[in-house]
Amino acid sequence: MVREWKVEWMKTRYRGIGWIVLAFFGLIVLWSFWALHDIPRSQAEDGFRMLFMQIPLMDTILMPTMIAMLASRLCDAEVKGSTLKLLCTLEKKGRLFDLKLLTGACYLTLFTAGQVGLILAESAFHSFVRPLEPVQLLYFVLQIYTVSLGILLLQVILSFHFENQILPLAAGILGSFVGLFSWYFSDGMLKKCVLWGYYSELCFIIMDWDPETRIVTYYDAPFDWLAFGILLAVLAAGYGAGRWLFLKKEV
Amino acid sequence: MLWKCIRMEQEKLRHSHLWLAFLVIPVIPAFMGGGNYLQNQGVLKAEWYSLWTQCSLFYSSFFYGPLIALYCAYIWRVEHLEHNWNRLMTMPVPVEDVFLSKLCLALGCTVFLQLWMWVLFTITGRVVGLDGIPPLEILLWLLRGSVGGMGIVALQLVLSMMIRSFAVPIALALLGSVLGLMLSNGGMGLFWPYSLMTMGMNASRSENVVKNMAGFGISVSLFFLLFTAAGIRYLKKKDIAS
Repeated sequence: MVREWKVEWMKTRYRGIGWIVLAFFGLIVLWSFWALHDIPRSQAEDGFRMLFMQIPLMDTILMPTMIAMLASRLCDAEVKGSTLKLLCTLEKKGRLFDLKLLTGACYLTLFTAGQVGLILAESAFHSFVRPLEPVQLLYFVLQIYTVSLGILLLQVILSFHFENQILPLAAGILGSFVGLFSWYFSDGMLKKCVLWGYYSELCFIIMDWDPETRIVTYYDAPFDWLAFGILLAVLAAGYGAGRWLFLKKEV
Repeated sequence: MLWKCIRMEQEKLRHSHLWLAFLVIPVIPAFMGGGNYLQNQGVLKAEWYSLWTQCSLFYSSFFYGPLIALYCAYIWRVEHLEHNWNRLMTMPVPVEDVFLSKLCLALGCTVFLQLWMWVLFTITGRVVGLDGIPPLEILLWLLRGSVGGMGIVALQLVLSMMIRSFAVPIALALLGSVLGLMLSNGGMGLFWPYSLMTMGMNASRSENVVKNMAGFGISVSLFFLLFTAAGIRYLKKKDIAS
């Protein structure tokens, strides 16, 4: 297992995956600093709530495409080189699927950790007045990491299934679109039916914009444990189905 | 020769599922924009122009660029497969024509995308209860968006040609589009190719934001010529790795 794990990381060398992920993270850093730089002082005092709302929104736009790219890059070593047949004689087929997923999950862990670091750095830089509630940081991690993991699973399945990577990539762009618009869906089952919509479904901050004063006020909302439970169930079922499909795939 | 190259490129695209992505993806911003319009009718009073602000908001800022990138990456995909670079470069065809034929197809695609968006916009407008057809000005904005997208087309072709991965240029286009949104809001849009398309489309605005048409035209032309020349030069000078 350790040997296969090392091999997976060797395959990622010189492929620039880390640089692209870093570029996306850099963009989120830029975007969030840009979003905070000219807001009224009163709003910046409640900066944590603002970031807990805005970063998931940015992630909704950027992550599906980034994850589609990540999954495609991880899988195209085998797909492009048509090396699956050879590889599957050397290692267990299911393990290959698991390790691809695990490698992608490592990138997502770093990305999410980076975002937590970004929130803390921004709080120090802008001197937020309202203190951080640690439980909200935990909710944030659960929200971003679990949804991203679900999208990664979907994209790995698609990237392995289709030799032509246009469909997985188009699914990523479509996911960004659907996810973005899911922020405008009213609460209900519709939102829970769309994987990319869980970034907004699991958001634990609500906002109120006053058109006369043009001031945005943020409030806490309860974390939607039901949606989180559904997402975990979808993840488990998706993993089982994806692995089964991969095992059945003719190489 | 250029025309023959264009026909050859069209042949390569046959039986691809590319059209599906281009037909389906713009449907979402159009109809979701319509939904937003219905929800905010108290504030949105300018009928077709208000609907335009909702439909174009995310389409131009985040998705038009990656869709163009998807097309550009796809038309270089065949060359990156197996040893096709060798075959392409040994054909008795000037490399200018190879690049320009792909460029022509990609430019045609951006215009098609905008016209399809126009159809979807009109349908959405009728569905949400607007009368008549959209003002001609909005069609012109859409087509001006295609003009603004010319620099992106040339740039994405160069990136897709240089980067063997299918996915990375698309990711770069999304990054460029988000940066473009920030720069155009900061008044620096003329200096970044991805902003020009947003500005050209007059995205999420009901009044014309391109006051300086000459500046817009010069900027588009400069980026377009710069990236096209860079692409042709790369093909001429760089030794290929198949």
